[in-house]
Amino acid sequence: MFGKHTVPFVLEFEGAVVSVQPENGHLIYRRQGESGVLEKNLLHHGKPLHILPVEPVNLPKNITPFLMIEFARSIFLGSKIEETVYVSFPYEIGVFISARKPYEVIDIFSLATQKYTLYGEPKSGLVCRYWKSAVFSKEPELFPLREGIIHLTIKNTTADWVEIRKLVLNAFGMKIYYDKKRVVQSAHMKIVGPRSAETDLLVSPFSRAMNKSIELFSLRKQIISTTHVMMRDGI
Amino acid sequence: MFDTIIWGRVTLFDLIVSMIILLATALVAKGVSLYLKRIFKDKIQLDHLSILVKVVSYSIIGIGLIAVFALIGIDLKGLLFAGTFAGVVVGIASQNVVGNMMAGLFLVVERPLKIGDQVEIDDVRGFVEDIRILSTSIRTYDGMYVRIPNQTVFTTKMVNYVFNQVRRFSYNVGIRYSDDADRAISIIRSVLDAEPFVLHSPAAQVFVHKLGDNAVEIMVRPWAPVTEWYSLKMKLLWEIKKTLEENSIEIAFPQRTVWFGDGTNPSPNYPSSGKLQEGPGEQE
Repeated sequence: MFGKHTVPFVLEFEGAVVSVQPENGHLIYRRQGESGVLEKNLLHHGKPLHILPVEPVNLPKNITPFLMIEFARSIFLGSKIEETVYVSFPYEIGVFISARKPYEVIDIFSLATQKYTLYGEPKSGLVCRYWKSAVFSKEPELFPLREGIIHLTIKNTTADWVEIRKLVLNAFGMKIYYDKKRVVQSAHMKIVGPRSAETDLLVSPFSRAMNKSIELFSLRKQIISTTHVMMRDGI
Repeated sequence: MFDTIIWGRVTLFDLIVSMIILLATALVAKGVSLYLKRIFKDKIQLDHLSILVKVVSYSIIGIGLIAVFALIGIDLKGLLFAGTFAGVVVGIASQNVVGNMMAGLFLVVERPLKIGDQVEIDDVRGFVEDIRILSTSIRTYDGMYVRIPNQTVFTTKMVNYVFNQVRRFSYNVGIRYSDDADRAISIIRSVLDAEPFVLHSPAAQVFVHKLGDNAVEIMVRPWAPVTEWYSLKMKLLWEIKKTLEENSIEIAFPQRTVWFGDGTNPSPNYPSSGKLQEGPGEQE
């Protein structure tokens, strides 16, 4: 489903049909779904479209770069231990057009539920995209068009056991990879106190055969000073 | 050699110390200016920053000069007297201007509001368009330009609607006494859950708040990001009303049961008392 598509084409996602069809001498991009029909004229005749998973921070409106994942079951981790788990994350689907580079996004949609939450206090906290995930010990099989998989390494640097209930990531730094079956990324969480942790995103596909998706923030020429998040208001 | 008199009672030593003080003062002023520019570069506008830097820099140099004058024996009494007199005259003439300027500086330092914020100041509500050294301008919600002196901004009660990341708003939804309030609460919660900008945390509160004259009143208190709360508030109440009605729960309206004096009774379930009474307010 993801990758380069030569026009014309019709693709059926779960609950959405994306097509590019010639009409009256123009190519019409059309997306039909529960929210209605979106149509755009493509005057860039014959160029392929790229349909790729992108960071989950654009819909319904880009108001935050942060993604908070709440674990369905909390994780207890012993002192000075490093463990790897898998959790799910939402992603959005971007439709890009390009003759050469740069790519231009013409549509973004999502099949995942959208919800926001506050991490921390109303004055100083972070508004985050919210997602709830089970915690898996090995790579799970998920709904591939709705959710991706995060390979999460957690390191407890404190001298005590810690209970971890949530993870906050900076979605602007996401390095998303995909193949035919899955969408993935890797992240690291370093526990630095009983209620605090540092998280960061890693450039690490699950296998060499996976393709790297386009990073929307780099398309928009946004300057990203850091991709790590300091979780000071609880873990 | 250092005791050599240069001028009056000023020795070579005094002169060297004075020059060192002046040099040190200039260096400190420069350092503080650079520090202020670096700290406030992204926080305040460039023109405000320039004024702030100049005021602080000249103040430091002024203190250095006073120290040097004292060292080389220049009598400041005359200057002090003239300065005091001039200060009184200028101060009386420009106390409002100086007051506004100082308030502007305090606003820059305290930062209770910034450009683009939605605020209420002195009964004026709108968006902050600009914060200048003497005044703050507001674009009201109906598009008017209002200039408020900084002294007023600083000394009157100010509400900044978007100071925090999130805020709460509330609705009072009145349903009929004959409807199931638990079911209504469940339906309202499902509407809130489906709306992305109603925050998962802090969680929305939905509860029976009052058994009113005409309705069971359900309080709905969702939290939303400050950038989205108003558009959400405009949209959500109607969504709640429509969804409740789709589930056969009606919004109650005021009504009164009237008992007629001739014994006729609008409802066979109520005994005829032959008096005018206010009913329980339940919608039939």
